[in-house]
Amino acid sequence: MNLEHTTSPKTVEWQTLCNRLGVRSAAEVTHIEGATYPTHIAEIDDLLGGGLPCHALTEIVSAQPSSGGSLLLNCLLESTQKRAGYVALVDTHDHFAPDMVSNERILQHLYWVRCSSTEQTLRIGDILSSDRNFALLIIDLRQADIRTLAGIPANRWYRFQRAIRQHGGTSVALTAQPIIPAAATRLELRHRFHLADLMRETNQLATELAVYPLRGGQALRRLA
Amino acid sequence: MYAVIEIPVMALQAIYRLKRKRPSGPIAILDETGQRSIVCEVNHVARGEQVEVGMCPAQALARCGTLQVLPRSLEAESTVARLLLLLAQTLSPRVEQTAFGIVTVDLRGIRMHTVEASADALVDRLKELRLHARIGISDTPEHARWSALFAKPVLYVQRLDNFLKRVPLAVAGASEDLLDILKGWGIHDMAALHDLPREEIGNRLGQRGLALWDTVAGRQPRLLQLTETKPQFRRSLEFEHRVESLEALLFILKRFVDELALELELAQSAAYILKVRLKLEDKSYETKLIEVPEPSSRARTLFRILETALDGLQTKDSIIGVQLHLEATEAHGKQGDLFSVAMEDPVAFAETADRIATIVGPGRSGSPRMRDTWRPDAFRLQTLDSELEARGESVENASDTADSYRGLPLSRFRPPRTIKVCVERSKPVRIDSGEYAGAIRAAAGPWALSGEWWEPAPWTREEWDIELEEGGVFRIFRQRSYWYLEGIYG
Repeated sequence: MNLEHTTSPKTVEWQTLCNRLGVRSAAEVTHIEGATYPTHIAEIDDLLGGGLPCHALTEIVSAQPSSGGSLLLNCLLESTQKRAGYVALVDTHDHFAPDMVSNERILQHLYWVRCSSTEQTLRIGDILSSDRNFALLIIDLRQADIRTLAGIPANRWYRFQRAIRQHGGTSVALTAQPIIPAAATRLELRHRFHLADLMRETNQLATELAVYPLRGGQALRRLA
Repeated sequence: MYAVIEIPVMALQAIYRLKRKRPSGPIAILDETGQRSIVCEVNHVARGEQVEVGMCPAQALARCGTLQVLPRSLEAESTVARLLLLLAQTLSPRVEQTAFGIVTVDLRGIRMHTVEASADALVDRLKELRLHARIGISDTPEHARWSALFAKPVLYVQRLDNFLKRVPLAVAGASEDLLDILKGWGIHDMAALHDLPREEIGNRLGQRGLALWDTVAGRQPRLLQLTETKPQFRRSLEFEHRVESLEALLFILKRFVDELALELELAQSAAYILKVRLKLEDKSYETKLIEVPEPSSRARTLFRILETALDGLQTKDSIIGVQLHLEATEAHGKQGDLFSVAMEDPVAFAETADRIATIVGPGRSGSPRMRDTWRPDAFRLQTLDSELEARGESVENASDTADSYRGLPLSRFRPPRTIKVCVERSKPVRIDSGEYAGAIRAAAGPWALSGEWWEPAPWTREEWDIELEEGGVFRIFRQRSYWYLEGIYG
């Protein structure tokens, strides 16, 4: 049987309207979501099918102290340098230690914003989410007041997520509790590092990060 | 081949450019430069109300009670004439300023299909500058001038005989008596005149008739008196009314930037500093110097930088005048290095950085660099470089160093938090910082650190790395008998 595919005028009109409004079909969204940003941390890259999802916001929860949040942050900075890109770090309460990166050249790729409040962090995040120069945007909210974070309206996070999607960047939010409703992927760091680990090689420690998916990612789909 | 670019009703259009909203209804432009004020231009609505050029204001208002009479602005017209001249030079360097608002361009040696496309683009660029123009293209300057009168907005005369049938004799610029004679013969358009034998015209009308016939036939095209233009990177305006909002100021600056970008383009230059000088009502001046991160000649980019820099501008008095001056440098084409890291849009980043600095304050954003000292947490912030060195080298070095790097990174508290520490046998056994408290499972230290003894404020401290029973690895230190929590490892 010879099947002919024809497009009705209504379909054409609908597609034109979608293009004008910037509405994407499910297939297009799946294609975009297929792109990943490798972290060079085997555990995370395997779990998420290659790396952090591009055009999306990933929330990484490190609820306990010394569970690897700062180690992960430094790994992300290093991976951006390897990709020859720029990374922006929005540091809610000015906790980042530039003297703790493995190589000072990494700092050349880093744009660090030292905020003093959660509100300031969100404003800066909004601005940076629309700047195409940054391959990765990291928002460190680990020390932010949890009540303030809980009081942020969900639509603000969704608006931020839309800006990330529109401008094609990758964004990571480090939090102490699962708090971002718009996060496409949510991971939790559960390993506890010990004093003796301070004498071990950093690269080796990065392989021991215990990452559990809470939302999104291949692993979660596998679990479901 | 020649092109004539004309801006019809130029005085009106020059005035329209000054207004944020284009005025509607019957409008007349009043020329007050002579001994008596007369109407020098009217729009089509006013013309429909029988208001004519040459009337005095009282006569014009008597014809149309709702007539808006606007004063002529010679300054605005000069700007329009200059813009026209600059844009005409994008077609060819051989340009003549034929009249105020009319330029003739010598297109000989230029391919016609290129000219037609350029003419359309030129009309669009003039529209962006809020000017409506018409362009006529033909074999001689005169024919081009006449074709501009019929252009909508571009007319390229390919068949002269057909075109001449449309052109009345009156536009040829001949004297009244000569025109009357020709009308008496039944000659009303140029094609009819062109059909008459040249010698017979010469016998009956003499030299004047021959000159007219030659002009119509395109026998003796006149030589153009070429005009040279020097780039001017400065624009200024004194306001009629004082300006109290940024929006109104930006409207004027947008116009300036559009005009100056054109000057830059033609001079093959790029602006690297924007200097805005505001004249205030108390006769004082306020100047703002704005550095352009990547020299540019693009109007949109320059205006975006200007807009960001002036955001939140406060002056001590109302603004009554503004001047914009550009410092220009030679525009360099740049080819990207295959192995270097470069920003996609450095200008956009400069704008982003400005906005961020406004929110977080100075010295709170940038790219960190370590200071040459052993003092903990000694760093400085500098502007993020828009271009970095070769990728291969940096990655290679990065991996070498990363392999040998040991330990967990620290998340610092700035400033370090004061804590209570129980010490037994010179070793901390318990801490209490409020948020983090409990017995210490393991401790490593002490590490005595000191430095800058030659400075007025030398530093010395005793550091410990500790792990709490409940979990968590921390760095604490003792300085002048006080204990501090410096950060959390991990």
